[in-house]
Amino acid sequence: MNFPRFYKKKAIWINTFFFTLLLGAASCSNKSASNESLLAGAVDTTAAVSKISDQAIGDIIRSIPSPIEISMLIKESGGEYNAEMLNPTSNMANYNTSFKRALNLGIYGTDLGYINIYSKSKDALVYLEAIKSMADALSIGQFYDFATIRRLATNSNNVDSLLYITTSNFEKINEYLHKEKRSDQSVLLLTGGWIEAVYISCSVAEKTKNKELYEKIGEQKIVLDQLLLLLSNFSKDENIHQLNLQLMELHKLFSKIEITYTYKESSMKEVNGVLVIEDESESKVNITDAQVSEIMKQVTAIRNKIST
Amino acid sequence: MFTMAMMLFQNMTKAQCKADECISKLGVGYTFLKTYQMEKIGDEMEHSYVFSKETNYMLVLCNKDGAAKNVEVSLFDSSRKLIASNYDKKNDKYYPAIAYNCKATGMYYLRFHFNTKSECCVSVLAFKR
Repeated sequence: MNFPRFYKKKAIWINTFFFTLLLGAASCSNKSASNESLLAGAVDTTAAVSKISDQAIGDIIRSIPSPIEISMLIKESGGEYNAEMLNPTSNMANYNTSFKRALNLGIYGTDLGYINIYSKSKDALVYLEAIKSMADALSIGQFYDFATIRRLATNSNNVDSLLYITTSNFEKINEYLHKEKRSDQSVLLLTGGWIEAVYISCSVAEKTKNKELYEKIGEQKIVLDQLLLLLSNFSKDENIHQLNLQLMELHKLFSKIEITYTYKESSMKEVNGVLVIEDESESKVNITDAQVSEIMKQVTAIRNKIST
Repeated sequence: MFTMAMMLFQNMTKAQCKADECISKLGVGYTFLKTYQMEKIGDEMEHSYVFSKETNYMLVLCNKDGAAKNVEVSLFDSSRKLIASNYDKKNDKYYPAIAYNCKATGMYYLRFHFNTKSECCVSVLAFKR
């Protein structure tokens, strides 16, 4: 991929987006400290996205964090494995359009990541079959070496390899869909995966009341801004337009969550040839029980609509 | 004939700069997230990623011979403030890996500058809680 050819153009659009974001943040902030900002996340997606280049779309897609990070936190926060939270593979029969297949492939991908982190090999094999079927229907089954994945999934010592292969496959699929001018499907994969990650996080947070998980849910406003930007770019498609509208409702809830960021210079040291950077900056998320419940309610409604 | 030889050489080069080999250079307990590939001398590219607080991220830079020691990568926060670079100007030294203990969630930018005689460079991003 020839990045320099597009680099300047891409940077302009990315900068435009973040400048818009910063303007929104600045206008909503009551604080004047020079090194502290309030990330209000007021994004006017309809205005900001009409000129996003293909290259910028690819870059935003790559910037979305992996749901695996949330799943790891859920496990660490004391959340017990609960297969009942996941989207049943029996729903697969309902997914007969590429729109639903892409969204639910994303959902099953997040479910598989969650299952793998808890080393539940029996469930992993069931979800792998579902993913294979959905990926084949979307003509991206070639990226999955199911024989290898199935072998790894049967042994709990292979979790790292399994996570690497599944994450790496997803990366390859995104590159492929981008080259094939099917970025809309990449965006749907990501959106489905994100919705499922937020749904699982809220389900666990409501039970455990884990503070770190609460913050993680609040931080999702940053990711939702990115997803809305991507979805708006494909909103000529009526299905995507409707999904975008539902997520805009969710965005209204997230926009009430305050995230403050305070910059401080980092410190550095060398450890065994690696440059270790100790961050001294900090971010804080103010999110209440009621806000988590509202987000849970809205994200459940969206999930039910796309997964049943 | 020459064109074919060049194409074969390029394919061999790409094949030699594999993410899989770079993965093995990650520290213990890190989980793979992303790969970033550069294939031309003079390449410059920038990628963004949402980093999360209380999470350790590691970025390893590799070329076909192992650790890439002449590729510069700079990390910026969401306000484009420079956090760190793997290039130590004082000692003219490039670190082949950086570990970032993130304390503030937000969008971060990784700017790579590939200006070595190596034919390719691949870098791998991973995380550890």
